[in-house]
Amino acid sequence: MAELAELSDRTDATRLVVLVTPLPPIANAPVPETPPALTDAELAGREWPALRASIIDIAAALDRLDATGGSESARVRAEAEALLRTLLAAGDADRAERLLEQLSRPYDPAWRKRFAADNPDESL
Amino acid sequence: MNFFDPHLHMVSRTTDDYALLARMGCVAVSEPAFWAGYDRSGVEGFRDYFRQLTEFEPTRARQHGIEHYTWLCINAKEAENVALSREVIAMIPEFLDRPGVIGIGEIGLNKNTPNEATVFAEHVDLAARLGELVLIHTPHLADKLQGTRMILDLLRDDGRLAPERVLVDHVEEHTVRPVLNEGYWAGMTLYPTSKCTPARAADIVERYGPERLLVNSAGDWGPSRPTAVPDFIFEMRARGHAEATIRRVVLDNPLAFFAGCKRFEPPARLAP
Ligand SMILES: [Zn+2]
Repeated sequence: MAELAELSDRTDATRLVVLVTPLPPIANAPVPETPPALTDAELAGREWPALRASIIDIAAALDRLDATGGSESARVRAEAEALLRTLLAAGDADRAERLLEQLSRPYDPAWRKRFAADNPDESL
Repeated sequence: MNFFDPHLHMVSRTTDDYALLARMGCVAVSEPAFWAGYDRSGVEGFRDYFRQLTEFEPTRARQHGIEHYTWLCINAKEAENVALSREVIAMIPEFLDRPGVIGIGEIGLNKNTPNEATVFAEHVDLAARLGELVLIHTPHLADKLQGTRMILDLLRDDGRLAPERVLVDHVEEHTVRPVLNEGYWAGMTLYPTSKCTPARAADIVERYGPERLLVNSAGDWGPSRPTAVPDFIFEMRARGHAEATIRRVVLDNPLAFFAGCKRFEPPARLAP
């Protein structure tokens, strides 16, 4: 609790400043300070029930969408299946990131030019 | 464990939520100005809202031993009205010296439109001129990746805000890396059905380390849980993380970031 005692010391503002500056850059894959202490078996045992339930939920939801026979349900099912294909193709890392990217509108680094063309009066 | 929820819209929550938060170890909340679920009719609507944020909510929080801080701005959704936004931005300095006001926020983008970008840049200008901290809302769902990158571009264009004075909120796996790499603080919002979950937030802490990462519930009038931060604490504990690592994310980091505000006084309950 030493850090907290320092933060709570309202008479010593300089210590607060030391805590926030300077901030070193974070590299792409820094080593976590405290790796999780769970064993392989503990982690597997902890994850399996929820993983199993989630996968069955997905299967049941796809069945439900099929059962309606409607076009909107078919569109949603196709989108879900595309995500599942990405999931299986993603290899062994960054699966969540890949799925989120697939669900995102693309970033256009030239967006300022596009805005300026749309609004010639307002420059950004 | 004591915790500080840095993004919680208590105007949308009941007094029971304050009582529950206090019993779970919450020592402080910060409340960014946001959209009420309807567009306000004019600048006086914002003046009334800012009074609620700086007068009534701190009183309600204090009754439960919780310190209440707040951020002021016109949110990205109403920023589509540039004329109204400029009236609100011009009014903000009236409120900045009130106790508990921490800075400008949650500014940001919603649908990534030219008007939103204009109003975002004008809020950044206000913060830079007055030396205020900034809290940033990044867009929802399909707009988040594009909007987050545009926000980073706009901050770089302005160039006057030191990264350690800016918290970029609602990061997920696909947006956290550029935010941290540019030196900003990053907030993870723990929502039941969108944004992050306690388990995914713990994954991100494991991947990037606890430095400059914060978690919040962003509890508001939509599906959200004001007790999401304790859920994160329990997830981290269940994975065997050290108490000091957890405390860093849920208490030390918010305190360190907020200390950048010249008016900030740490919660009285944390005094030695
Ligand atoms: Zn919010």
